[in-house]
Amino acid sequence: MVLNTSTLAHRCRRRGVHPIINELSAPPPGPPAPPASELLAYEEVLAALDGLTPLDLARLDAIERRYLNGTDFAEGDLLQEAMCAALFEEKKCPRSVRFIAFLVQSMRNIAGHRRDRLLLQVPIEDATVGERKSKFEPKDSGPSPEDAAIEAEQARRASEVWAKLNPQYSSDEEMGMVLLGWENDMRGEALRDFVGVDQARLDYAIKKIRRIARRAYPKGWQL
Amino acid sequence: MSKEPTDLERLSKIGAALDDSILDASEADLREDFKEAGDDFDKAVARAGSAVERAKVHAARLRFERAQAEVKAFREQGNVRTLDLAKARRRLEGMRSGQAEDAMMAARKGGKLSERDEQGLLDDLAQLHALENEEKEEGEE
Repeated sequence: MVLNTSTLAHRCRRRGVHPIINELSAPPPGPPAPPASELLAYEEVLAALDGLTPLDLARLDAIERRYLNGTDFAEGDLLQEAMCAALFEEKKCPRSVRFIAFLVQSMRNIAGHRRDRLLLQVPIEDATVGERKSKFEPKDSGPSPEDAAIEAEQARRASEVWAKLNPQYSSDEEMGMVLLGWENDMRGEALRDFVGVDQARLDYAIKKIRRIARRAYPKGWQL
Repeated sequence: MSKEPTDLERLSKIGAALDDSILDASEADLREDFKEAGDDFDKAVARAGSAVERAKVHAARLRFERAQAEVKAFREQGNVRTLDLAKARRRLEGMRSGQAEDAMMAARKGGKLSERDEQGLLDDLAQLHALENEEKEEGEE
């Protein structure tokens, strides 16, 4: 499959991927990449990996599970892939970013790209002409029909997921407020103030949200 | 809070927030989470620890292979000269017979060399020859 730079850039923008840690050799227009001195070198990545605590490892394992759905990664493989990408400097970790958060973002990107790639291997019904088309035709520029098909599939899948989760969340006012806060990028104190509860109550609401999501989709939403 | 987000946008933000909540979760909370899902915290630690080790081994192997490829490429570019022992031997014979123009006095007057001395001299001559060639090439550039 041939994917040109603009097609890949379009996918990255769609996913909201930070240009430093995306999978593109040519990042989309945006802030310039920081100089090498602001990125972790091989030995530093090794040291960061060695510095992961058992709690960090459990966190990474829990998060990895949320992205396995729709990929062909076995348990542990997605995490390994993210670590290898950091070690091989395919994805570079800025010093200003918490290393474990960098690995999480990396897993998200890798899983997303793998999902897209697997989706492209399946002929998708062309709604406009009713034909089944191969997904391997290279395109010259702009969002391709393949991208449009992937986006449509993701939108359909998202509606399905939300239709399943929303009734469970909307029954609880605090959970509903937390979700609304998250949709508006709130975290920490801002979120606590917005929801109007103390930290313990907020943590409890978040825990409930997390568990409902995990029960409904143990291996993630496939988005 | 202007326009209504799509389900995809909403779930994308909620997903990122859920990841953050896991990154901030206490060990006790995570142990509960794993237990509730029929899993085990310590097994999760072992799984992720194993992934770290695999990644490190994989990275070390790849770096070794890259280094090997770089050495090979360096050699293929002609940066490493092999020593021409045959040519050095001819030069030594020339010195012995007194025909070599650049033979040192000691070499011209030299008596019989031991096998070990001869081998050492051959090696030195071969290296000298390689250095002379190198100098010649650098002069031509």
